[in-house]
Amino acid sequence: MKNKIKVFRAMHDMTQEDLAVAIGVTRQTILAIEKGKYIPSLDLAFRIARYFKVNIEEIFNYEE
Amino acid sequence: MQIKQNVFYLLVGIIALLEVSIFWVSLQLERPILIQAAVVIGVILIYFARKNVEKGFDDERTQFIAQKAAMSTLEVFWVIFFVISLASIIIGLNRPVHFRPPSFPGSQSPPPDIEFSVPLVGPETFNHLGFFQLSMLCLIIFLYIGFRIYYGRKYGDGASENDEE
Repeated sequence: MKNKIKVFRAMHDMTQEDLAVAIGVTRQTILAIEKGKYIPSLDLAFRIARYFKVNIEEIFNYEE
Repeated sequence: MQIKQNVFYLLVGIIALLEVSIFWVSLQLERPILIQAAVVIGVILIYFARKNVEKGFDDERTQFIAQKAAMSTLEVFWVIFFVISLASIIIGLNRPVHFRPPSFPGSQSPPPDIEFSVPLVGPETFNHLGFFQLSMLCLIIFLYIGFRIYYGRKYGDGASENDEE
């Protein structure tokens, strides 16, 4: 599972801490998702997508 | 009332110290109910304090790590506990179990020197059992902490502040 959270953060000029506070998780969780170490739940993935006002597929890309 | 994470750990430390003191008092007064009640109250206090820790302490990733660590701890612990239990049973059965051979008319009576007065369960048994249970509890804690560190690193806890961009 690849994601573009880092890109969207940069576009919105946000730090990991800012995004973490905004969606109610720890900064470590944002970092782990960005690095691909942790795959977020559907709930969290939707929260991130809605925060950036885009569809979930625009941020998360599933690869077999 | 929200409390900070450091305050929470401080509170846990204070409760642990109090528990040790109450254990000593309980031992002196020979009243096990004291330490039993103190542990239950202490756990309830920690539970409520944990619920009031400021946001950011717990999220779905930390819960996921905790679940994985708990599951792995259980998987390893039951094998260790089963092996130790089997060994204990074998040691226990390797002593006289006080079965007497049947006596028939005309046969010789069993030898009189068989000791029947040795109690199978006495105060020493509870003492040993208590230490055994505590050692098992310590084992669970060590296993859980080990797995928690392992899964924490696997799912991103090892990242440093330098990763912020």
